[in-house]
This record gives sequence, structure tokens and C-alpha cells, in this order.
Amino acid sequence: MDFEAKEYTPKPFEFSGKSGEFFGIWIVNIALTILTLGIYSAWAKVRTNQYFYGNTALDGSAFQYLATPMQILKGRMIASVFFGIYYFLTTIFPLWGLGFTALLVLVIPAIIVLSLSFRMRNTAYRNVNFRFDRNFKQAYLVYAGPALVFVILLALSFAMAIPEDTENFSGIEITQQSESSESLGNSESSESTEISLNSEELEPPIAFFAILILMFTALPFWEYLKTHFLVTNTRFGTSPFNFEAKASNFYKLYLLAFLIFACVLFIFGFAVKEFTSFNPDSPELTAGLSSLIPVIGGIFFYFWAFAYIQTKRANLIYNHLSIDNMQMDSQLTVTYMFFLYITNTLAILVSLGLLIPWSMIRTARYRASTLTLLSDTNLELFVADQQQELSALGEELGEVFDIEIGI
Amino acid sequence: MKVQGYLYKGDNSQRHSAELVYSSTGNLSCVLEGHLAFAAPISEVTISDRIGNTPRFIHFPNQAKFESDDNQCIDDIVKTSSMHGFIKPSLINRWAHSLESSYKVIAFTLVTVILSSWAFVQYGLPQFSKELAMLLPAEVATKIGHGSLDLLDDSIMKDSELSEERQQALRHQFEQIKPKYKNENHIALDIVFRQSEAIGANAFALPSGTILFTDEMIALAENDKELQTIMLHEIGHIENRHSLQQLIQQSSLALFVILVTGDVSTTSSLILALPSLLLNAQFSQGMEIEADQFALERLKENNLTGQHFAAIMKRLEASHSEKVKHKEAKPESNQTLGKISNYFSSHPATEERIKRFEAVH
Repeated sequence: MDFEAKEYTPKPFEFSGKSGEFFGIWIVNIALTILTLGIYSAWAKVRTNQYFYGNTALDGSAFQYLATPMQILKGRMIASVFFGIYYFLTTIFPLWGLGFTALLVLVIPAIIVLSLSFRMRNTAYRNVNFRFDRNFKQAYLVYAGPALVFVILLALSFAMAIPEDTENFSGIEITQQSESSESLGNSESSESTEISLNSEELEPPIAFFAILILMFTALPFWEYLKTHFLVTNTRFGTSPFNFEAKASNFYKLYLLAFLIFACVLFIFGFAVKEFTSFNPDSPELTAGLSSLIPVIGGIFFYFWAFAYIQTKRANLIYNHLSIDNMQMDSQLTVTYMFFLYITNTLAILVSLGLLIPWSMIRTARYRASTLTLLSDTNLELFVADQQQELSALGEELGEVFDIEIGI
Repeated sequence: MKVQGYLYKGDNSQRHSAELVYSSTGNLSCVLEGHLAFAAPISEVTISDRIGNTPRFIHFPNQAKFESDDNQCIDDIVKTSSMHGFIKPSLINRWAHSLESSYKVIAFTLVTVILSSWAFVQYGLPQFSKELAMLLPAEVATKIGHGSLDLLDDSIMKDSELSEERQQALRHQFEQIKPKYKNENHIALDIVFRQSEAIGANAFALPSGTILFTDEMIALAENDKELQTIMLHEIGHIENRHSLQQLIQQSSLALFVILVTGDVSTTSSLILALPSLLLNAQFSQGMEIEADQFALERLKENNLTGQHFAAIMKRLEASHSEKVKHKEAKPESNQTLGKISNYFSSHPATEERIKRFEAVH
């Protein structure tokens, strides 16, 4: 790439939302949602999104959220019915639940595609809409393919290992296992899940570990594939986004994270041990401290590790995004993100949720303040694409089933 | 009326500084560099709702879009043209922003939301869950609990070491004190025995109608009458369908929290789970008292006294606090075991509960 050669004008993203102003919107949303028994939640979602999109500007023009409350309401109602059925069935028939979950897993790639295409279609900037191409085939290849391969490998490793290891099982465990697989029916995926659930009781075969290690080594590559899929299928008008990261970037990120986490945990564990054996005269104090320090330390570590991965990942993805010779630049820092997560959580807990609007605003402000678009031209040359109506069902399904979509 | 802003024609992202002019005939004209670019009656134009101070977007039928942050002026245009009957803004369009920006409304809403949420969680939800739990057919209630015994067996329970005769004797006593019903809609009761080091002395009422006694619990009793009072208490839990009630309560509370707070992606989902965890402990207390009441009412007809219950509860409490002390003195002992035993200690043997039984002779 010849980005260095050209003269780039940085165009920063600006966020101008205010906590006090948003608090009013937020609390009225809640009150009307309660008053209308949930129906207003569709309007609440639209107004919230419109507030955050509208307050985000790039080069003097604001973003716009276009979805209408009626679209959201319809999608939300249908998705809730699906979720209700799913919840009811898994509660009443816990053993079949695995089957239902497997079924849900099968439609996840489709939900991701539908959800993103709705979200992008309803995001506009300078009267040009974003797009997410509905590339179902690629979605299944990228999301379901590796998962399926892994499940099959795992099942095979067990199938090969079980006849040799039979004497290791106690009688009870064997009867349990045959019982559960009988009542499960013969769905392949659910059976393998059941076996892996019991795996703690069994002597795990070597092949199992080999495949587990293989999976962990393959994870960064899978992350890369998924991100590549998400980015390259996104367009602004007719211009597609390009993703210039390599799989090796992801390997570096996760390997480094793994090493850092391992070091921190080791040092932490060592420190806890040293510290707690420090005061042998007062066992009560030592006991109190020893139970408190690992818990607090653990919480801090969890937040820090979460912030670390989120930050590094976001920077990696945004810094390798480009569109029509324009380059994104993201400068999130781990320390500040960690500080944000910790203070947000504490503030929300202490205020019993009333500081949620404040935490949303300051997070959005920080994210925008670290994001810049580097471009050598003005932003006038993007060509709009054909308009097309879409249902919100996919997005709402993704929301009620809590499907995490990257980026 | 005139509004300054940007015009985007819709075929590309090009931006033009432009002016929007509203005439008293109900027409909106777009003026570009001093010349009229296009015009449309305001009834054919979509004006985005006022959200805080975010810019407004005005969509024209020819796909052009006008962006302006002059909210005051656009509000005036909307007001004037609806007064003249050119457009009819929706209810939300008219009211939402004035509600959201009025300090009085915000203060009032805040107080109302806090009070009503508290009342709902404290009184409404338990009552609703209780009524729904009692309304459900017994088969459904039993089905929901199906598998919880298997789960316990797989994780922390071992087979009982009690002799077959002893188990038989206790089962016989259970059959004696178990209420006899003509009512169709009740959960069939039965009793099982298990051994568990992790949990120690305890008894559970599983939602399927199975009552589980640990060997440690049996050993704790000085006589079978004490155990019978515990049986009555556990039957009380099942008769009142407490586990089903709790399940309904928790899932509807989770739904309520998500509905009300919306998407809280700036923290972790831990926060959303917290209220239901906190309330969980509180609900159990009320349920314990209800189960106690059930047992109290049936002591006499089974030739039992409150002393039996009080005696075993005191011993139970002593045995649990001993366990806790033991753990604190040895911090390296297994932490998860402690957590499990706390999680399952659904019998906080408080002084008050014991006192209620001591009053019954």
C-alpha cells in the first residue's frame, strides 16, 4: 500500500451527546415502556439509536438511523414468540433442549447476515446508506464450517478412544451414558455434546487433548476469517470496505494476550500466596484477607483482560479498514478502556442503574474521540445504491437470543 | 421561515450548502446558491423526529435529503404547518421531546419509575409468580423439575449409605405424615436419600415432588420425630410450589430488567444478572416462613411438637457454622465446596423461625 506517499487529512469522528440530555430520553423511554407493557420499547430503541447516531459526526455531517419503530416492533414481536417457544420447550424438556439449541446454532449464521443487513441498510451518512451483502453461503462457510469440523473431530476422537478405555469407567457412568443417549434421540450434534459433558468423569483420551489444542491454535485464524467476512461484505453506497489485516495479525494479538495473561496470573497467584502466609499470628485476619484478595483481584483481572482483548481487537480491525483509498485509524488504549469499564460498572451498581445513560455517553464519546478517517479527498465521491425494504426480524432474533456479532 | 443546512441529492455523498424556505402555502423549497433547486408540499416531505439536539433530516420525495441542526426553526415550521392543517404529526412526534426535555417531567418520571419498579419487584412479581405457579397443572410443574435430581446425582450427590431397613422405615413414616388429597391438581410426593460431603446435613424439596434427605441430616437427628418435622417443612415447599414460583419470578424479573434498561453494552451482562441474584436470597426467606407455617399447622395431627423442629434446627445451624469456621481456619481448603454449600443452604435457621416453633407444644 502506498498510504505513506500521499498527503492525508485526518478527519476525526466527533460525538456531541450529553449525559443530562440523554438521561431525559432514557428515563422517559423506561416510563413509557412500563406504561405500555413493553410496546414502547420499539420507539425507545429507535430514539436511543437516533440519539447516538445523530450525535456522531464526521467532517461536519451526522450519521442517521433510519429504522422505523413499526419495523422494530414487528420484528421484536415475532422474535419474542420464537424465544418464548424456545424457552418453554427447553424448560419443560431439558433433555431435548440440546436438540433445540443445536437447531438454534444452525440458524445463527443466517440471523447474523439478516441482522447486519438490516442494521447497515438503516445507517446513513450524507444521504448514502450502508449495506451488508446477504451472502448466506459465505456466512455458513465461515461460521458453521469450522464449528462443524471441530465437533466432528471431537466426536471421532471419542468414538476411537472409547472401546480401548472401557475398563476405566465405573459401571454407573456407563449406564448413565447409555441412558442419556437413548433419551436424546440420534441427533449427531447433541450426542457429542452429551459426551463432552460427561468428559470430566472419564479418562480423557489423548486425541481429545490434541483436538482441543488444534482448536485453540485455529481460533485466531477463525477470528480472522469471521472479521474478514464481516468487513468485506459491508459497503458504503457502492464502495466496499477492504480488510487489509492478515491472519498473522490475529495470531500476534492472541498469542501476546495469552502470554501476558499467563504472566499476570502467575505473578498474582504468587503474590496472593506470599501475602496470605505473611501473618501467622492472627489466622482470622489472614483468612479474611485471603478470601477477599483473590476475589477482588480476580474481578479486576477479568475487567482488565476484557478491556485488553476488546481494545486490541478493535484497534486491529479499524486500523486495517479502508474504503476507496481512505484509511481508518483507531487509537483506543487498554488503560483507559479498563478505567471506563471499572468506573461504569461501579457507577451503575452504586446508582442502581441510574448512571447507565452517563456510562453509555462517556463510552461513546471516548470511542469517537479515538477514531479518525484518513483521506486524501473530500468525502463527496461515494455513490448511493438502490433502496430496498428489509424486515427487522433478523436483527431482533439476534437480540433476543443474544447472538454476539463482532466489530 | 428559512433554515440553513446541507443538501444531499441522494445519488451520491456530495454535500451542498443550501437553504430551506417554508412558505405559508405549505410548500418547502430548497434554495441552492440563490436559485430554487426544487420544492414540494410539506405533506409529501418526511421530517425526522426531534431527538435531543441532534440534527434533523428532511427527506424529499425526489430522494434528496436536507440536514440541519437548527432544531428551533424546524420545530416552528412543523408547528405552524400542523396548525394550518398541512400535516398531522404523530402523538409521539408531538409529545416525546417535550417530555424528554422538561425537568419537571424527568423528576416526576424518575420518582415514579423507582417507586413502581420497587413495588413491582417487591409485591407484584411474587404475587403474580405464586398465582401462576399454583395455576399450572401438576404435570407441567413436575416436568419442569424433571432432571434436577439427575443433575444433583451427577454433580455433588452420592448413593446413600443408610441400610435398606432404615430407608424403608423412614419412607414408611413419610407415607404416614404425607397429606392425603382428593384434589387432582397436586404434585405426587416421594422421598429419597443421598450422601454428600460437600453439602453436609441438609434436606431439599425438588420441584418434581421429590424430597431429598442427606445421610448427614439423618445422622444429625436424635429421633425420628425431629426428621418428621423436617419432612413436613419440605412438603410445605412442594405444596406451595416454591421452586416453580422462583423459576417464574427469576425469568420474568430478567425479562423486566432487560426490557427496562435496554441495551447496556458499556458494562458486562453481570450487572443485569445481579438483581435477580440478590432477590433470590430474599425470596427464599419468605418461602421458608411459608413452609414453616405449613409444618406448624400439621404438627398436632402427627403427634409432633415444635420442640422437635427447634431442636434439630439448632443442631443444623451449629453444624453449618462449624463447617464455615473450619473453612476459614484453613484457607487453602477447597473454595468451591464452600460456595456450593452456601448456595444450597436454603435453610437460614434464624432465631425467629426457631422461636415460632418453640411456642408450639
